[in-house]
Amino acid sequence: MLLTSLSFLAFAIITVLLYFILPKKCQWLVLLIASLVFLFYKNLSIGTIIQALAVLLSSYVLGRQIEKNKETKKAKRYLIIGIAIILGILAYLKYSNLFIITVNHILDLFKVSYQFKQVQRVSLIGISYYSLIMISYLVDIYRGTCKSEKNILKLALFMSYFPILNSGPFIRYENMKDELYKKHKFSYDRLCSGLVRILWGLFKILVISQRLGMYVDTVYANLATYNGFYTVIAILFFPMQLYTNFSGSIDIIMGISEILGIKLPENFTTPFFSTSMTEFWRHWHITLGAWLKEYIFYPLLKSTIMQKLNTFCKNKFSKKIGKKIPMFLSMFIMWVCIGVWHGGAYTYIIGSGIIQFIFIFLEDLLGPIVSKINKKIGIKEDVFSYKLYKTIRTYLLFSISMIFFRATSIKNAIKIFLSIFFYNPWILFDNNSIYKAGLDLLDFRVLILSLIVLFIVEKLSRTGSVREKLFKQNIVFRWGIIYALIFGIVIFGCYGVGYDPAEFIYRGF
Amino acid sequence: MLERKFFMLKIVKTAIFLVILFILWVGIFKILWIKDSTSEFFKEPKNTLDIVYVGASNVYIHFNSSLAYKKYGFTTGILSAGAQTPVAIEYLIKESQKYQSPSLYIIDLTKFVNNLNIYTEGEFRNTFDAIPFSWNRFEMINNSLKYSNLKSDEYMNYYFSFFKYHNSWKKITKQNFIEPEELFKGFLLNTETLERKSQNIGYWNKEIESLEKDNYNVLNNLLNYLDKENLNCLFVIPKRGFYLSEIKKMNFISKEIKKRNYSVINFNEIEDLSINSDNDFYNLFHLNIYGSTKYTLYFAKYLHEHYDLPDHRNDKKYNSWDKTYEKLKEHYKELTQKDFEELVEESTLLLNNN
Repeated sequence: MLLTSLSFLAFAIITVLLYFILPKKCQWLVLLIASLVFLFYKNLSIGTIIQALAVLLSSYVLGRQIEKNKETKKAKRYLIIGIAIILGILAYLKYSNLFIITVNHILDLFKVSYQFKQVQRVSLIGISYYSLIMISYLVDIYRGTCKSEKNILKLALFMSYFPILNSGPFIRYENMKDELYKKHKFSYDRLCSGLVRILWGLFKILVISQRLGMYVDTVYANLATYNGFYTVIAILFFPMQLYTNFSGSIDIIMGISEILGIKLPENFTTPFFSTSMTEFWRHWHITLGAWLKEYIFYPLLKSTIMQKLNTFCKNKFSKKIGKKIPMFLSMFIMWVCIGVWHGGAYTYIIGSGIIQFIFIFLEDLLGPIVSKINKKIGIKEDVFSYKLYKTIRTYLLFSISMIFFRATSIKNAIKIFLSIFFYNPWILFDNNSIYKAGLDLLDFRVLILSLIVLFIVEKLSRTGSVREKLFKQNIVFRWGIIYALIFGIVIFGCYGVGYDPAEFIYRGF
Repeated sequence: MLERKFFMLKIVKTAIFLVILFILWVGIFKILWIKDSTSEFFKEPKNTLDIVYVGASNVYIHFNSSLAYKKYGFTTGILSAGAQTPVAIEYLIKESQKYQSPSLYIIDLTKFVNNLNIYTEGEFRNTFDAIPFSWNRFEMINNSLKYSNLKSDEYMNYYFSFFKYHNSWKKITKQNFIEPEELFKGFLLNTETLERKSQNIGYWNKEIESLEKDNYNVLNNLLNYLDKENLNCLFVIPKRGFYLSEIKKMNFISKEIKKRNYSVINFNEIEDLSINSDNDFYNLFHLNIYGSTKYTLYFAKYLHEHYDLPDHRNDKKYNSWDKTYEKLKEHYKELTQKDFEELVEESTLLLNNN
């Protein structure tokens, strides 16, 4: 069910109505039924039911056992079994082809002509989200930071809470249990605020992201025709397309959750204002970063092997280097995990994993040197122009890494990268050439105007909630903005006849 | 108490917000939508039409309702769209009953002989788009589209026309903001309908060929509805070119309709019309303004003589019909530098001579 579809609109309205009309003690049951409808929508089969039940039952049973056997070795054994089951199901459904491709490459290297065929497996929506969520549930019980859930249906709701299945954010049981199961009163103010957030999400997806996608898709699909500056523009457009698409869908689900009275953690805080890649990742897909830090990076860093490596490096090199080597090694593993999580393809592992690590590693390595040089030659780092340069540099670096993320294969990514060097700057000036790659002049105008609106809103949001600021304004201005938003979406949105439905880039994960 | 007052205030505010939203919505989409004959029909004030004339393009191109009014004083609403699917006719009649209570329905039979799956998106939209939102519209769309190759999840684009027309902001011109210049109470007059192109219109064959099952069912459902509602109805086969198989099917349809005690006029068999295939067509299927003037004068006279239709020409309530006729004359003059009245006189003379 696409978040921008009328079927989702109807689904959300019915859910909200039932949630507040039925007795409050039934609220969490309404959510559970809605979540199951969303989870199995057009995807109900014995296979998908088994997938979901396997994760739910193993988490439930093993969670209870871990708690019962706290302080014993059994607890660790149960935790490992639980994680293995969840990751096993995830790997079987999502990464079989990555495994087959790797084996085929190895066979190729040894000149074995046999090749394994790739397989098509049907997985449930949000499998990558609920798998990690349930792993964190088991680990938290093991760590003693949360108690196991006694009611399996309540655990099922935590696992399948429908707003997060589409594109996150990652939630933790300890933070969500009260939110999900407590009784919520209807609030008119929350309704208004939630609706405005939903509208803003729709604006980002339908007006900006879909429009950017029309250009990006055209160029990426026709590299023989569109190269040079066409490709440069497509490469620069894609991160913005990804951001407006992803954060827009987060806005929609946060809006719905807000109406229901359930607070979810924020996943984006204006990432494109970041002046470094390290800062960027603190503002982009925040909950994924937090999850990986909490459950992969820190445990790895504290592991016996890393501690030994730390000591070894301290003795071999210096205290500073000794500290950095295990840290970067753990970080590398974490970034590879991020890449793998994004999908069963090497393009994801490189684009959203390894390249990001390289940039962050280089920033850490070269940052102090650059600062020293700047000081020596008199370049001020605390002025607007330098911050602007660093912001643009961060955007460019992210754009380059996203070539791999967007490309269909590594070969394709290299081809895209090389096509940048085709010399055709005149397409920006002559005979409207630029308007022949999926977006005409009027579309470009709408795009530029909506990007300006996005910039203003993002800028304002750095000093507090824009919606709170809006609701403090007088009624004429406030309603004017809301009407403009509604008609902006309805008229300038890319939907309906002549457009592909707004597919969510992050939905596949 | 204070809380209740506060709550009521919020409800009132929301209601006002929604009303403004609705007004803006209607206003904006009126600009974005393409105005056609059907939208002209729904502009008529309630219960002011004496006749409702339903059918495909042969209705709004052939029957000049303001001329008929000028001659005899009765008002005819044109509920017509290019390539209007016959499945829609029953629902269009239902829709018109919500606004009008005419003493006569005229139904053009042209499209009953064609397969029900030949219609393009544009042709479907011609029929559906101007119809106000209602359950009847929903049923009309469902029943019309079920014969097409569309999947049911594609129907949504037809239920909510803004899915299609929101994108027409790119093609906005002056025409979007003003009343249509070429439509006169639904009747179309433009440079194309002024052309004279000689056509090879054959004689009317008397043979009979059965209708396809689907078409037969559609006709039957329509007749059942007319019976049920006890509506006074006249069926017409317009003067135009038909293929042989279509003629045979049309004969079958006529027979079936007559069996149910409804009248059918086949204008292809009426010599007195004075329409000749050299001068009075602009293409094989449509009369030009010269042919349509003859057709209107003949048919309006027939209706005046055979039905008890009122004369509204001295009633101020019907001033818009006089104004439309004047606008039509001006437009004709603009396009041809000639007086429309002269054409009417010439045509009347010709008809009288026959």
